[in-house]
Amino acid sequence: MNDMPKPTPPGVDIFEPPNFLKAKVKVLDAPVEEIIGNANRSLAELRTHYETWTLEEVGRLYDLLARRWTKDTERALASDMMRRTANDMRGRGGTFEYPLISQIAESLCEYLGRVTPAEQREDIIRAHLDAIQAVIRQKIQGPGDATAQAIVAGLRKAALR
Amino acid sequence: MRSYDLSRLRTLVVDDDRHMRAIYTKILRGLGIHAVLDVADAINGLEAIAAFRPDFAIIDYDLPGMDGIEFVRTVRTSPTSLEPCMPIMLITGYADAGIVRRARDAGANEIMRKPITIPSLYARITAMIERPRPFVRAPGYVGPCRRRHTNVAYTGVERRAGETEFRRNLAQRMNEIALSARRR
Repeated sequence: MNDMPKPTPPGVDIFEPPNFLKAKVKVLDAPVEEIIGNANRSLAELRTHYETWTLEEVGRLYDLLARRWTKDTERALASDMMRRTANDMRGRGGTFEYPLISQIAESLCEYLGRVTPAEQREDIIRAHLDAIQAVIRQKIQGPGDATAQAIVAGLRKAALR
Repeated sequence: MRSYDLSRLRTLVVDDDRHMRAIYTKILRGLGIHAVLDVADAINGLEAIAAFRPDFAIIDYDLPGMDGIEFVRTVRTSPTSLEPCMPIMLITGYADAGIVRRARDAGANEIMRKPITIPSLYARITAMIERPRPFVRAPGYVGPCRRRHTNVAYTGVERRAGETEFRRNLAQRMNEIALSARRR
């Protein structure tokens, strides 16, 4: 009797939904590299825009930083907006082969998430923005040299202090 | 990894970052998926499911208002949901195990950390095509089976409580499905 399959417990249903994805796709003879290459070429059309987007976003963050917030709620909203933008920059950097941007933005994002808006230091935020701007203007793709890595490490250390 | 003609698929992208939406659209179109609809928030995403009828969705975790995890839970459990079993890929910028666990428990099929790369996105899409998981509807959970590599024929040592029973139930249910399909 112990070998008999037990019924599914009451209230639990396990089923196989129709696999609409499989039904709508066809296997191709082309190598995967060709498919990936097509997508790379499609994404390349955005590569030139990426640098412009990032500089525009950094500009908006400088503007937010320069304002003198009188209300705590406004300061908190501005801080959250900065954190979200930094998070977006972190996500995009790696896609466009700017891992340094991802690392700097990650450091900024963590700082803005960890420190209360009232205690956030303008110089630390500004140092991150300066670094992102420099990486884009100098088109430092890839991991960067020892100096770039030292700057990123310094920013992270300041953000964690 | 196999090559697929994905041109008949319809994809919904939900991300508040317009640049990310442009990136997803370019990549997906490059992979051959032409029907891509992108929206900026989860509420519009839920409405788009009814209007656009996507085959799968890509949603960002960090959204203002309803976040990506709440979106997944709503698609899975809302009585008005039109596509409770639709494959959903949740994207997060955070390396936080808690977010991954919550996304899995909400019923996300795939969870991916940024940065998005084309090979990794393609690999997740092919995983949803080639390795769909059984769907579980139980008190407290609705979504794809969270045990990704369940092998119903496994006879080795069980390391989890209830594993044998789960495997038997799953095997029995799959037999029932196969039998009913043959009768049709």
